[in-house]
Amino acid sequence: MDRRSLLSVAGISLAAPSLIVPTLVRAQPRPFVYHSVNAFSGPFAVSGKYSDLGVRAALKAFGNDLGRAIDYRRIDTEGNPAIAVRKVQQAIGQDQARHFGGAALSNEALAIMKEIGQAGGVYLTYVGADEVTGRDCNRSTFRWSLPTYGAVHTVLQPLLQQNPKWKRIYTITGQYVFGEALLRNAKAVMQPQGVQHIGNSYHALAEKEFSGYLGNAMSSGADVLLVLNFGANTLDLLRQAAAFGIKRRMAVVVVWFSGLDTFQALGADVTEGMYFGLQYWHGQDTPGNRAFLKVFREEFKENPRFYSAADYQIAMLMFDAVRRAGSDTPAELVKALENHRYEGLTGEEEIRAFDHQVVKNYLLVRGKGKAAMKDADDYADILSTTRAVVPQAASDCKMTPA
Amino acid sequence: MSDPTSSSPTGFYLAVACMALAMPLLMGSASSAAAVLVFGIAAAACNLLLGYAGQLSFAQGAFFGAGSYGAGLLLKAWPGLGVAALPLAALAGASVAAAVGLLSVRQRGIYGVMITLAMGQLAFFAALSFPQLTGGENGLLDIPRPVTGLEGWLGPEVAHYVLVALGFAGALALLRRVLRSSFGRILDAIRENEVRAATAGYDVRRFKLLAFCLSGGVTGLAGALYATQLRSAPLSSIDLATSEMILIMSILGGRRSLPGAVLGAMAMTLMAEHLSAWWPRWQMLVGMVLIGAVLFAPNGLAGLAARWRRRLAGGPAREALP
Amino acid sequence: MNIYLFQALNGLGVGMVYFLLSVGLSIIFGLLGVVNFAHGALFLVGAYAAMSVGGATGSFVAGLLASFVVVALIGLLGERLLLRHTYGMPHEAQILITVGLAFVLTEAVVLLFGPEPRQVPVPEGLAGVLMLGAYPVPIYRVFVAGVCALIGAALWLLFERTLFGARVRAGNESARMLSLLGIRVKRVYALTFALGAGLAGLAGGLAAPLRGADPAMGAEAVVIAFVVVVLGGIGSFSGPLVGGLLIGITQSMMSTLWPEGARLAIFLLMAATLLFLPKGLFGRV
Repeated sequence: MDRRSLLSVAGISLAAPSLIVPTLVRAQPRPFVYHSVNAFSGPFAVSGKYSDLGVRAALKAFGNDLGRAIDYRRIDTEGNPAIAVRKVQQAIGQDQARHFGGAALSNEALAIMKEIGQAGGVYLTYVGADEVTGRDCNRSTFRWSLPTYGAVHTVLQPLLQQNPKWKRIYTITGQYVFGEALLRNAKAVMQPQGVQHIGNSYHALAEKEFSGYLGNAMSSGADVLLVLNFGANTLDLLRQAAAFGIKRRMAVVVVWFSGLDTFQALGADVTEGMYFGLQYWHGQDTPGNRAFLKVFREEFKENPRFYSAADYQIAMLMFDAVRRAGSDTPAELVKALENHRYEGLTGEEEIRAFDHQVVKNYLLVRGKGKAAMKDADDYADILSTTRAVVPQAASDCKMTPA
Repeated sequence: MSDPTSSSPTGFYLAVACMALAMPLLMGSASSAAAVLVFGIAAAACNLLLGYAGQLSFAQGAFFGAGSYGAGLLLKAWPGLGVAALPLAALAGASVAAAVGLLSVRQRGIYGVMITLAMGQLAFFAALSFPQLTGGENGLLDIPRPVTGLEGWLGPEVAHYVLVALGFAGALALLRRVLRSSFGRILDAIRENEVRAATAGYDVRRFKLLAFCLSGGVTGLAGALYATQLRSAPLSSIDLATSEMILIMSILGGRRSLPGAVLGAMAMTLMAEHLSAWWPRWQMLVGMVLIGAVLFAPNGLAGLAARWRRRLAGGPAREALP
Repeated sequence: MNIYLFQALNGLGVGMVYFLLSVGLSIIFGLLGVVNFAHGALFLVGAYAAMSVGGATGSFVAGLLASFVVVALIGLLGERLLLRHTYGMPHEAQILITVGLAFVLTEAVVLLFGPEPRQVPVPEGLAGVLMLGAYPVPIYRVFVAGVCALIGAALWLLFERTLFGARVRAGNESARMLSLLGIRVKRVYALTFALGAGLAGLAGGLAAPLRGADPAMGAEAVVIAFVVVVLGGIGSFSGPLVGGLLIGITQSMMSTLWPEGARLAIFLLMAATLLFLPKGLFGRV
């Protein structure tokens, strides 16, 4: 029994006068409540810190277009999916919350999207696990970010085409579901191009010491080191790879990279000459990004990182859907979002109806040396972008249309 | 109330019942209250090992996770199992604990503790290595809740809370029974002086192993209830941080007090809930509270509560615990 | 030079850092009997101290000095203000208080420096690689291994050849005897804890250019430190050294032999060792 029901049972005698006040207050339109779910403390607190900036930028940019206030509430998952689920359950049960955005990690998003789906809410996220718009897709959830298929195709295909000298690839893969997905897609791209996959080293999720795997790569005689992991694993691997001078022997290609924050964490000396796949880059010139940068830079006096951009984009999509639908009923919002085409941060973007996956651009960039950087954040040059997404026939998403 | 072997049964069961009934009020929602009860069970089971058998264990997360995954897999495969999945999941926890215990009891002191750490890491590794079973880093999802029959009358959240509360009452009652019995006294003897207990003819290893199994089973039950509450079994249930959290709750509450374990769970959960909404660096305050607890409440929250009750009753503030 | 030899050499390098990280814990546990769960946080503070002082002064050496001194001071304060109250208490009390201290230290660092992982540059003169056959060995790693070896030698001298060291070793055997002999046990304890903490901080300062500085590094380090100490045997000096090296080599070798399990292998090594040598390799306590 929650606090509210108990109080109402106990305070029936107080109920009468207390009914009058709400009637007066109700003359004002109810604010739209948006719950941003992220890690504001704990091991992934970086994510929350920047996600907050993104939502605030969206609030600034959207202004009063809804005709009512937007109540921005944060849910701190502490980087723990169990706590994320619990707090989302609480918000749904206690506060009738139905509108959610964000998540620090895939495991959080996957767990809470089930709860939000059960409650018939609407949830936008940007995590990388294929399953979000694949096997575990549901009517409530939308994803702004390309999963592994798009990431691998954007990064590997053009590079292999432009570098016919790259004949042998060595992969270092995270031994977890996400890493396996990257590897599966990478193999599918390598095969038809006639490139030899000469070896693979798996590493554990908690691994910090990559010198052994780099030794394997170097002794394999490969032309390319393909990095198939994420997060801290990628940072540690790249830092150690640069220290070992691996760039002198082979090209380094990183399929999944966060962007500005990870470039800053490594420094240009490490990232120079490496190839990276990004969901977002502040240096990309699109109408959507220009509008975002204007607001963000004015508000926070710095360039946005991926989390800020992603949270901005999904918050804007949510608010805009509420405006277009003229209501905040989740079912209406879902309808408003499906097949929606708009100017997104990475160019023209579209939300697919059958799996709620946003078709957006993924970027292939190359790291620049310090001398070539025009400003402190100019870490990379964009080489190309693609909008590769898994076709419906090949998708694991079996969501029945409304 | 701080030593279950000295208080009256009615007092104890009344306390347990009050906790279960009042928790949603105190925590503000059924889901937070369920989390407190779940970790209360786990911390109480940890008390069995720590406060009674004298065995510090970093493998509690392995037992908790085994229960979570166990219940999850069973309910996904046979949703009709319903509440029967819970004791089966407890069995999973007990089995993992038996394996851990077998290796750990051979070692003395800190070395035994480190074996539990190693086994906990092994369990974590196993969970990651079989993603077809556990979902890997994504966790096990879509776990159907057991149907209690109360859903229509109380609503799904409260109905599940009733299930958790019953599991909580049962687990604490069982632990109390065990600790009050001769088994509990032998564990005490072993904790105080292993050599003397062995000389007295007790097979120390066997008793410690039994303590592990019991603790593991009850912790497994807690894990199972958590999985049904969350409708998922994330990887975090089996990681080192969960083991540490259970230990912290157990020590904070008072390592020999079963109601204390619940107080410890409640304190940590309340702090996390309320402070995290206010300041992202809230864990600093938690750290200060833990430091303060050791300096000013060396017998844990239960000890503190006992001291206040004695003061209120007008007696001296004398500690009854060793 | 083949891959296995290369891995073994890498492992030695990593192992030396583990040694420096863990020897302080071994001393603290051996003498004070304190299960210091803040050890990883001390490592973390050392890394950030080196980063900020090194960055502010432009001097790598100043950064390293800071990493030792700042953390030693924190250790001293922690021991005098907090830990000394817990000596009579069971282990759990020390665990709780040091966990609390770890939380406070870690969050203080995040408060000051933000939650982002930070890069710490390798000093100019030590950047670059040495070629051993076809294999590159970063010069900085060799430097770190060398420094750890030097510190190890200095510690050995300290414990085996000085009065202070003799007192620490005596206290290891029997703290009672120390005070009966009229030695101010409190001072020995405080200095020992400061030393142990400072060593962890220094390890952090040395490791920072290798692995960057991030808020999660404390939680990882404390687990490794305990594994190394227990494997090596508590209260010994050669324990953390051999233990650290073994763990480092195992980790590196496994990344070729059993990559997915490389991380797990260090725990299995410890557990297997305890099965045959219940007090670790050189354990006396």
